[in-house]
Amino acid sequence: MADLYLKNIYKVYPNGVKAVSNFNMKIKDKEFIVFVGPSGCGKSTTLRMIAGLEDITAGELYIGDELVNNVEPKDRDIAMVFQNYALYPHMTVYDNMAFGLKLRHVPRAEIHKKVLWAADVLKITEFLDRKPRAMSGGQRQRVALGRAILRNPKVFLLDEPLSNLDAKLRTEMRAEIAKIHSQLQTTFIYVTHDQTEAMTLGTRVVVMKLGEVQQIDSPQNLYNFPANKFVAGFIGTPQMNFFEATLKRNGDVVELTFDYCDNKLYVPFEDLLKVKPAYLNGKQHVWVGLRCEDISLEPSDLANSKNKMKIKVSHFEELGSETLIYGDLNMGGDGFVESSTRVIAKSNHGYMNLKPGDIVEAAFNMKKAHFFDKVSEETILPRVPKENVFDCTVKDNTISFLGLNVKLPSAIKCKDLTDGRFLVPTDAIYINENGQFNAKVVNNEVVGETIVSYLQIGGRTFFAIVKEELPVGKVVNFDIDYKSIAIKEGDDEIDVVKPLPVYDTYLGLFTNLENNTRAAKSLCALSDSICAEKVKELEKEKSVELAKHGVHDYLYKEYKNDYKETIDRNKTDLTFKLTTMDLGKDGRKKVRAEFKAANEAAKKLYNERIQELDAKKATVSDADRKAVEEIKADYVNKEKEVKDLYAAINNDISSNVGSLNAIANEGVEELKQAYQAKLAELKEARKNEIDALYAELKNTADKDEKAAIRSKIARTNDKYDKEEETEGLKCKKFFIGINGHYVESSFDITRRIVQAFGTKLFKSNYRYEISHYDYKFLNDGGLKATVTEILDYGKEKFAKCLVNKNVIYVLANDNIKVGDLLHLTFNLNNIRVYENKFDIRLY
Amino acid sequence: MSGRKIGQKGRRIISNTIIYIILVLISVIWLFPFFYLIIQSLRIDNPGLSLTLFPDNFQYGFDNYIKLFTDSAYNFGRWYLNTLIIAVLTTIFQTILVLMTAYALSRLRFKGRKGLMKFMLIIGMFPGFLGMICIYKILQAVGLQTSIFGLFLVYISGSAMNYYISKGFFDTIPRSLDEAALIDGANRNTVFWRIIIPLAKPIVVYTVLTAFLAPWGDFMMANYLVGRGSQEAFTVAVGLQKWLGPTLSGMYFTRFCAGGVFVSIPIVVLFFWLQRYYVEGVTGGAVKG
Repeated sequence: MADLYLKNIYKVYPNGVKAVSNFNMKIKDKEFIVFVGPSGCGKSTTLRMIAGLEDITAGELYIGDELVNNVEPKDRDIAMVFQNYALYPHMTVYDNMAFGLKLRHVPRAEIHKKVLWAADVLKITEFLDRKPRAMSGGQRQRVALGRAILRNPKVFLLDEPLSNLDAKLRTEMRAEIAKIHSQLQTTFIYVTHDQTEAMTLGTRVVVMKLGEVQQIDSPQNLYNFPANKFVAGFIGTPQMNFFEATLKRNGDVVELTFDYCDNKLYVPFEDLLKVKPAYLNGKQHVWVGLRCEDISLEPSDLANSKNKMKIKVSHFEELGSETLIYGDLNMGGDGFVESSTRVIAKSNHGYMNLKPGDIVEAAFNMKKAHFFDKVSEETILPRVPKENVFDCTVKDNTISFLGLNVKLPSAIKCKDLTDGRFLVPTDAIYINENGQFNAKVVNNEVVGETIVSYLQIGGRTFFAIVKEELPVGKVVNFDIDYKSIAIKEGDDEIDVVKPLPVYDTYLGLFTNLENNTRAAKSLCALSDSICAEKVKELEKEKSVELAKHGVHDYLYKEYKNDYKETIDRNKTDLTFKLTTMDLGKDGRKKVRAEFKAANEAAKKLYNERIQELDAKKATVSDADRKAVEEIKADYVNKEKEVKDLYAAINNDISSNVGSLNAIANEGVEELKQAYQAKLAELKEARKNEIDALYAELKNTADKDEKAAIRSKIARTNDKYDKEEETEGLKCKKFFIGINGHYVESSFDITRRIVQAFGTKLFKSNYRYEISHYDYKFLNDGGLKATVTEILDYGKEKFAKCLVNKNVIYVLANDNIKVGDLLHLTFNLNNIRVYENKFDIRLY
Repeated sequence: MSGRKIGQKGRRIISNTIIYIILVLISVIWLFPFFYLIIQSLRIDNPGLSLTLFPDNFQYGFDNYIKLFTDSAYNFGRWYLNTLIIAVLTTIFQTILVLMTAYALSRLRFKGRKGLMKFMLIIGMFPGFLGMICIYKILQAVGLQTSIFGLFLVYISGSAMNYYISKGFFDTIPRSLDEAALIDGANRNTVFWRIIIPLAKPIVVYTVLTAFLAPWGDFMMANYLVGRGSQEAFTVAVGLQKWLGPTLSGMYFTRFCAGGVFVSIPIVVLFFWLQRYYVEGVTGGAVKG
């Protein structure tokens, strides 16, 4: 009976493998949540983290309102059912079920009552004095369920409970579990790899893959609106049919051209309103997904359908009430292998007189089709579209789209375009009574907690995310937030105007006074390694440049390496052959000769290559020679620049290490006193509570009750220990350090980082993302930023600044001019904190 | 097949006969010393060594056994008690230490766990007497060099190193049992005593037996420590060995044999008592069968 909140949960193993990445979910009371995914997707790990059997690397887990990251499994008030039942073999069924209550010192009579109740619910009363060994799998699983339900836990965890049962029992137990859920009215979290279980049991289903959440939604929505191809393929049996195709819009109709076969289908454009126009140009390849029930061979469907294609039937799968007909769109395909032309269609009338090899027409219900990007495999028909794309032209910084002409704010400098795309994010459209634009409301769609409004200007529908449903049919005024718009050119979508990034990114450290030098050192080491990488990149660039002028210095090195590698490879090959194969005397001789020959060939190749290079070098013209010298000098400068930059950054970091002293010592005495006062308070409270409990203990004669009070005393002590620990952390000052500027961290951030890394936090480097609105100006010190540009977006102005060549944007007031040196600090309202190495979101 | 003269059954009978003959021969060789020991312990004609099993003037009786406990010069009863105290205490402590270590190494994951395991395994391969001088000096420093308590300390001090076999057994008990118990409200201690130990009876028995046998029969360390002190602190192994010395063997050989028979009694009892647990596998039904 509790809500659950998983906040940025990560499980990272010491070798850097992320078993679970950034798991975010709010689970409401009484929900039945199912985690589903192929093996190794992190679903069980997540469940075990909730149970407390596995440490949470980073992130926070709340059960009810309590943060339970460091709470023992037994104190989380959860119950768990294991895949292999985990019954205690030396105890009878009764004792198995009573064990947990006995440990919790529940009076005997009550235990007896509860066991009998649970046994009754699960119909195992007659087995109570048996040992697990004498029971069947289904009965054992019932006992395991009984053991869990009689404790009446807040959260009920089930880890693939049915996967060891046979098919019939599984269906039976599935119904049983659904019944128990409705009886107990508790939060259930259920892990399975069986999508049927997921769909039938869950109120919401979490689909996971490789440690990442793919989609969280109700079973119905997962089936109807899969977020990507993986979810579409995973949910539903048989698997959804996937075809490769291109989409081309002709007015109100979109033409689908299938790859690997000569087929075309047509879909009304109104079904594809949310698709980005870029997908409708007939060039981008997409996956078209269609479930088997939406492909029909029935004559009645064929008569009514406009979307028909020919299929070559390959084989059948009889399922009793229905038949699956396998075939291929490609007349040369065989329909057995999963390919992008294979078709599975459902028939309710058996084989329909078909034979393998027959070519028949099938009706495709394109209303139910799903479309996914070819590469990212994300849906291109999202329920909540991210952005609207309009065709536009730009002249003199005035943009024309949908028949509107709008002067762009001065911050956006756009060259003249005749073939532009104007990208407006759906959340950048603000409904505003005095807004610049007006549009007709055509529809509202509620998707979860988001409301998507369909707006129309001149017959073109677009979308906006709004706070409340807009009156349909009315005309509303709105504004566009120009910060987040983008303009692209042509079909290839070349960036012309990019949106202002939402956050400024910094690499920084997290430290306290004692460990500051250490933390600074590790950050310097990181920036050194970044510097080395950049230098390497420059080196590569340089060699490319030089090659243009016929100078291939780097090739000498590469060829030499090649040669060495070949020789080494030959040698290992020889050793391998000699030691593992039974060759005989002649064989060995032959192998040795081959080895010699291969080496000679490699040497010959190397010599030839070098000669070739030498020859090329000799023919380099004087002009080229000059150019080469220039390039070399140029890159020497570039390299120096990079090195200087990182030297400056490191200098900032290390020379300002001392500056922490001043602020860190400030107010330390007060903090200490406050801490002592709080500790005394806690001590007093603890004493009172414990004393009261001891008094109670003295007055009780009953053995069970005494034990109960004793465990209560232990729990009270634990509670106060934890509170004292929290207070201890609160009184310690931690700092976020960026380029040698330190800002005191908030308790929440500190807690999260300490939680994740313990004392290792000083060795780690962090990436901070700071919102443009969170900067404050100082008179001195702080981050030194040089203003290079003022970006005026009409309502807001941003100063584009450089901090050690790192571009940041600061919300500007009217006093700031180009060339100013700003001293910046920041508050932590919207800060995001990442661990840099493993990319773990910490806050 | 009908064509063969000896069928499969016939061949089996022949091979079984051969095997049993070999087994009988081996057991005769094995049992002979024990038989000899018993016969000698019952001889009352001459207390000295006899080269034949039944000498010419063979007479038998229980005198040697009685004298073991009545002779005031050598207090065999006291030795026996000393040994029993040491062995029982060692058994209790060593069993607990070994099982706990094995459980910790099987279930807990901590830094250096593998290294520690290998280290202990390798250190355990060195014979214990390599540290004799050192052990003596240490015990001397605390004044325990000739007491049975010192001997007891020596016996239990390295016992955790015998974790290996028990750990292997614990590894076969599914972890989900521990986890289920942890969620049920147990702590590690409860899990160990109430879930794991009842399931690990065969390995507990094994550990008890080995823990008992080592101090019970140890001569080298015992002789080195308590053998230097008063005979009040002797263990049976030390005491009995004194009777075999060149001066005493003529007078005490038969009594030595009687003592030997006595020494073997607890081992036999212990083995027969615990034997049934050896064969009883108890993990059935814990998890999917």
